[in-house]
Amino acid sequence: MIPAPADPPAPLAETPGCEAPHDDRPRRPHARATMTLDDQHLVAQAQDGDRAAFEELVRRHADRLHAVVLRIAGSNHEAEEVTQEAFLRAWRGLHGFKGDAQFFTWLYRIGVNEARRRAQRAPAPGVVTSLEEHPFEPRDPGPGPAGAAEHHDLRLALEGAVRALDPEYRTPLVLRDIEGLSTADAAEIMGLNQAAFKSRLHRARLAVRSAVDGYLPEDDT
Amino acid sequence: MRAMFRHPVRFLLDHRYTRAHASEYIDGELGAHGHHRVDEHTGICPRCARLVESLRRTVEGLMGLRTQPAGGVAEDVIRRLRDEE
Repeated sequence: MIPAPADPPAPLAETPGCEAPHDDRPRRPHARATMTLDDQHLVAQAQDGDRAAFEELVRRHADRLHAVVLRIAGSNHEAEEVTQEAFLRAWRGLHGFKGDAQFFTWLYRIGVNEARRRAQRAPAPGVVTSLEEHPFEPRDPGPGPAGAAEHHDLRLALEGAVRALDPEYRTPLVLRDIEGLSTADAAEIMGLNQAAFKSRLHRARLAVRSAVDGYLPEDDT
Repeated sequence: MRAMFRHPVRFLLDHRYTRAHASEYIDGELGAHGHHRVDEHTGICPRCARLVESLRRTVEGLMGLRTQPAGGVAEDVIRRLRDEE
């Protein structure tokens, strides 16, 4: 396990303004769709006391936030608690949200910080995510049953390697690689500058790569 | 490998640079100069070429771990918010 780093996350009040991602890697719909002008509109309405507007924000973001904190906190029970707590705190603290960050990064930061805190306190053994319940279809299962089996083995190895990481290293991997957020958004959620975030992400990837090296497909170039 | 013997200091510096910045390279987050530097080095250093390629495959595998949200979480949160009022 990689040791916990010395730099603790910055407090929520220090959330910096939003910066546009500057990488060319294709982003998933999640990363593009989570912040829209509609979010800003709903936040403004909710700040005026419109609870229905806030409930719409909950409907937009709750499931995905739950998926993120599930991988960090390590159990369904913890993830449900953290998700609910994040929205409660967001609702109570909404007047303090100045709009200089995107709503979802502000919200995720509350949830991710709480999930990291719990994961550090009591590392959870066992299954991190319910892959059997809602698996994505592999993009390229490979030729025939042997290819599918290899893909399955790699997936299990990756899951195990991610789970074995210290939460401070697991979190950037979850946000950037699994959830597909931009470096700018993921760094902001973790309260790190981009250089520190990239450094931590690189170390996490190297650790996972070492753990799954034997499962990676052969270079066919 | 001849480049390693012809320009050993440069080779070593590029080697370290590539190993430190391999993630940014595969994410497309290195500037043009850095990208070119890694490109050139991996062309003459099999170890770094393997590192970059295996890291790329690792990240591709990680991207495939994303799962569909379980669903129903939002309604539980909304119920809790209403209970707290």
